[in-house]
Amino acid sequence: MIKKKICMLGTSAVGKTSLVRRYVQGFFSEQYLTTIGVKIDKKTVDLDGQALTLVLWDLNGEDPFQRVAASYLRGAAGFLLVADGTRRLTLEGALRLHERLHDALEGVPGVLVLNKADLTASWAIEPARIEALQREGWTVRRTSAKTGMGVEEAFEHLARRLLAP
Amino acid sequence: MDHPPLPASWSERVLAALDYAVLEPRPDGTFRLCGRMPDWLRAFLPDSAAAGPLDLAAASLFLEHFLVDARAFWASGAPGPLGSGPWTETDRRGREWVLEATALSVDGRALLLVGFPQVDFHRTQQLVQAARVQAVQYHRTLEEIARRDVLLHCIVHDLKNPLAGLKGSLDLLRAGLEGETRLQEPAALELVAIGLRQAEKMQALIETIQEAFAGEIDGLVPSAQSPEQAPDAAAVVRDVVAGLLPEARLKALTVDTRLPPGPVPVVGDAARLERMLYNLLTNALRFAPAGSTVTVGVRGEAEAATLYVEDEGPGVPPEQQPRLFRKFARGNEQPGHVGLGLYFCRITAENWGGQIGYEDRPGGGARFWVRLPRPTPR
Ligand SMILES: Nc1nc2c(ncn2[C@@H]2O[C@H](COP(=O)(O)OP(=O)(O)OP(=O)(O)O)[C@@H](O)[C@H]2O)c(=O)[nH]1
Ligand SMILES: [Mg+2]
Repeated sequence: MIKKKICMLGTSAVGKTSLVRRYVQGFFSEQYLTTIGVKIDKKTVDLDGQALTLVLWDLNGEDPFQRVAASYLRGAAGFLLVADGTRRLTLEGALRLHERLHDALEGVPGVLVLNKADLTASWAIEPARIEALQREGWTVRRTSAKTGMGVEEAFEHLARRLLAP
Repeated sequence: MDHPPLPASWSERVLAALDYAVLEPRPDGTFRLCGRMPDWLRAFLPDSAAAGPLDLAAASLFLEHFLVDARAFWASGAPGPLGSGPWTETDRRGREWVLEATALSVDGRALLLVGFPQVDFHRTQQLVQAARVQAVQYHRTLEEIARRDVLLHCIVHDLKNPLAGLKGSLDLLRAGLEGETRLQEPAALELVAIGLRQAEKMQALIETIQEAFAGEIDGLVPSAQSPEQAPDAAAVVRDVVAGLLPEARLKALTVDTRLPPGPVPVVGDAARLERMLYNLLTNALRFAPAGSTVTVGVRGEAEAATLYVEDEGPGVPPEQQPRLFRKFARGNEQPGHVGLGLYFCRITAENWGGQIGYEDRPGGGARFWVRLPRPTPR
């Protein structure tokens, strides 16, 4: 059985834990319970007949109160860089975090996830910004941990990239 | 006074009381448990593993990772313990535990302690979380300020045109009155009418802005109404259509009104319902091609009523449809159209427990609808 480690990265309260919960347990909670340290989950998926166990490392958010320890990233096969689509600063924060962890993430494939897509009325990321990020080479996905929209797709897109030769 | 020294077994009992597992690595990568097995550790191990050497890397995905660091630490002979930081992991039965591991060397012997974090995890979590909730609110405020900035820019822009028109009319009037130009009475009246129309435009814009922002606050005010106070949707349609007929005539538009015979009471209040319909209908008049037909109607059902406005214009392009009812999306700052009207319609309808929507009109054009609940007798 192939096992791959995936890290959830981003600033605080963008929905990293909620995305994992939606993906692994299939439900959503409005309540915010911040993650301290790291929370570990796993899920086995079947990709075209190939069984793959994803070990999901849901890390604490990067902000002035806590930093993401680079040592947690060792052995990571992929990452989801998560931002809250209703708060532009979280996108810049996510990109800064990615920059800071550059050495640990060198060559590791990732997907940039703009979460909370259900909150259309307060959506703050313009299409032009997304296009620019795509031109920089980011794979960008819009998700909602609340409705489930795009969640499975984002994880599985990454999983396929991990299996690709 | 001086106590006699504690027996050696005491330290073991202290660790057991703290529910710590004290483990010693073996050359084959497994661990030997010193002392009692804590319940939480048992919950991570397969039933068969209770007695012999423990395969911690197989029992916990986190320890599998941490032991790599721990082994490097033991091999290095570095001073001081190596802490893992708290982690959360689910045991074999699905129960979640918050744990912490510490690697240390005592007299050259490698030891691993695993147990519950000694900092008050929940208190720390509460504090950090409180700070983070504040940060989220701060972000929201920044977004709101940014949005209002652009909004303000658009409002100023949209007020400028009618204001220029108004000033132009007044300038011409003054020139006439002062005798600089010859101005007949009908022409003067025409100038006054133009000026008034511009002033009304500004007034309507300001009212929409006020209502849009008031609507956000009024969202909390219950709008449940008794059937006696409920506005009649059909009467509102008739009034609004009558008021806008002159504008329709200017473009040679036909306004086709389709109403059921009797009154159609709905939840809401008449003034806002009028404003909502006014917004929808002026949009339709703006986009309808000259000479075409605009249809306005009400359809009553048992529990709700639907008001709709259709035009034969170009319709809304699919890529714009998801943003239609938002307060003013950035990058959408077309002058002459603040983009608050539909937002106002949406929050008003939603405050009343209703819904608003758009669909392409079959055969081309736009179709906006508002579905409002019928008032229920108490
Ligand atoms: N509407 C909406 N709310 C969401 C969504 N995802 C998460 N939330 C809410 O956002 C808040 C934060 O979610 P978490 O999943 O705890 O965020 P996190 O990134 O794990 O936060 P930290 O652990 O503090 O870094 C919670 O109140 C969630 O209910 C979403 O897709 N839509
Ligand atoms: Mg979290």
